[in-house]
Amino acid sequence: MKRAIPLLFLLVTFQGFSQASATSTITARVTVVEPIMITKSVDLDFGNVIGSFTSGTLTLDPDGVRTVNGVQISNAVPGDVTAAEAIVTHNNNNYSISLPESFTLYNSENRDQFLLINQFTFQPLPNAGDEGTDILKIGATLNLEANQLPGFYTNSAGFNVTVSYN
Amino acid sequence: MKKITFILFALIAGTTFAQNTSNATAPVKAEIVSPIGITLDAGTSMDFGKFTKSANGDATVILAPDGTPRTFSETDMEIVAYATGFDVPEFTVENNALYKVVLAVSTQPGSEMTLTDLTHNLGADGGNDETGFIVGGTLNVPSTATAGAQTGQVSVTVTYE
Repeated sequence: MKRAIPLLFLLVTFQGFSQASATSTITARVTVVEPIMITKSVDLDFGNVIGSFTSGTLTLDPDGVRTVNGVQISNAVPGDVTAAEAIVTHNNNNYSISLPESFTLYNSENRDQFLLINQFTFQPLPNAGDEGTDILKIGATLNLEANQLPGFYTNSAGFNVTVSYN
Repeated sequence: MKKITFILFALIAGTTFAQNTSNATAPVKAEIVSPIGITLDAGTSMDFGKFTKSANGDATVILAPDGTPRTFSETDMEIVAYATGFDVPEFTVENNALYKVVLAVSTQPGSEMTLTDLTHNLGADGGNDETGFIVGGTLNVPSTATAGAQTGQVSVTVTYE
């Protein structure tokens, strides 16, 4: 009978650690999105504007319509008038658009002469030819001083348009 | 031949009973340890969330096992709307002895990204007696990763020391 005791001890010990480990398998998840991109396709061009003895503004809407206040435009010689355009690749995600408060154009002959652009506006339109992209049209207001020196005003630095997922 | 066999048996029997009056007492103790168990807490998971691959090149996303926000190696990866859309798995351990945790990736999330550096918040690999722990890891996102949702598998094993 005494010989049975050690045998019982071994049996009990073995049973106590019959499940010494346990495993749980979990799923790791991730969703990767293509980075948002913006590519300029058309420059912003206010066209020709006739200066005045008083200050005034020329507003170019995103749809390309010009509206003047205090200055004049010539319907016969409008010049090249285009709202800016950019292609935004957003991959069907919501995004926000940031435009500058203002931007300065300089007279190509006299850099001391300049024009200020502000009140930028934009209109994103779905790009029917490429799902997941928009055509972003951008307009702004051109501010002319009284007796603004005639000439070609531009700024090759360009203004920044920033798009971000939100 | 039969006589030789009988004599040999007698010698063995005599040896067996030569000390039949001596006793020894040996205490026998047994402590039964309940089986160890591990359970993923409801509502928790390993979810790296939604983000963009970086335009700057290969990058990483780290889920820390301490409840802090996920961290990106490149700042252009985060999408504001999904800044809180991640989760770390929390486990409850049924134990009454010290245990260790072993983490392993069973299946990688897709063929391009890799999950590495699995870690937990118990500090050491062994000698733990806490009733639970959190698991984190590092997701390596190549610049060429294909957009979309991916899933992988991670095994979490607890073992008595």
